[in-house]
Amino acid sequence: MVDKVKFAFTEIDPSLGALSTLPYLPIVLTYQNQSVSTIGLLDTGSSVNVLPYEMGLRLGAVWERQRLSVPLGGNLARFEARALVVTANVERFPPVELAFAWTQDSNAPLILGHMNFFLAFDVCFYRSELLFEVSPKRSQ
Amino acid sequence: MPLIELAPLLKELSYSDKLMLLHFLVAELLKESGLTPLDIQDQGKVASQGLHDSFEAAAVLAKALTEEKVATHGR
Repeated sequence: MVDKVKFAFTEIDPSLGALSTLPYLPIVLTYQNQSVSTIGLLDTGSSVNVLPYEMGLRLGAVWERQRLSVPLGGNLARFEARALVVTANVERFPPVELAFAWTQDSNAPLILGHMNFFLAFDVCFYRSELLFEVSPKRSQ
Repeated sequence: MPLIELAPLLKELSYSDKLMLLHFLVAELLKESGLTPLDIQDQGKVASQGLHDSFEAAAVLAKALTEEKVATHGR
């Protein structure tokens, strides 16, 4: 079993080059047998994982069935968010359950934050080399 | 629905419903503006400013994970 994998930062704006690179992680999210392959922004400045509205719909989640309201701050405070737990696969690591604040904001990116992506995975950032390394948490 | 269509319906509301509607609209506008209501400021509580301090949200997600684990192991 692979214990750590390196990924390259993703360049967002070609005109800005390395100045616009951010750590996006390829991830497969699965909810009740429906899977979506996507990329999530690793954000150590976020207390929570955030799932944009349309992505939840693509996973087959039904808004009205989610009963836990999640109070987000900042720009996302304007939109209601509800808790949604999905299974996440990163590379060939064992699947983990991630809890997301499923926001009604369609413009929000998929955010991987402290609760609970950074509890499930250890990440080392080598920003100067435009690389980051991910491994499952040691107790797994 | 445009406001011009809504206005006649709003006129029909009871006094207490009109007060509740005012309260609702003020709360919505405060939420959109990101401002903290004065009564909450007085209590020393500060609303979350961003995702970086959405600790209450993190607590809710932790609860959701626990409930999911219980539901999964209970099957």
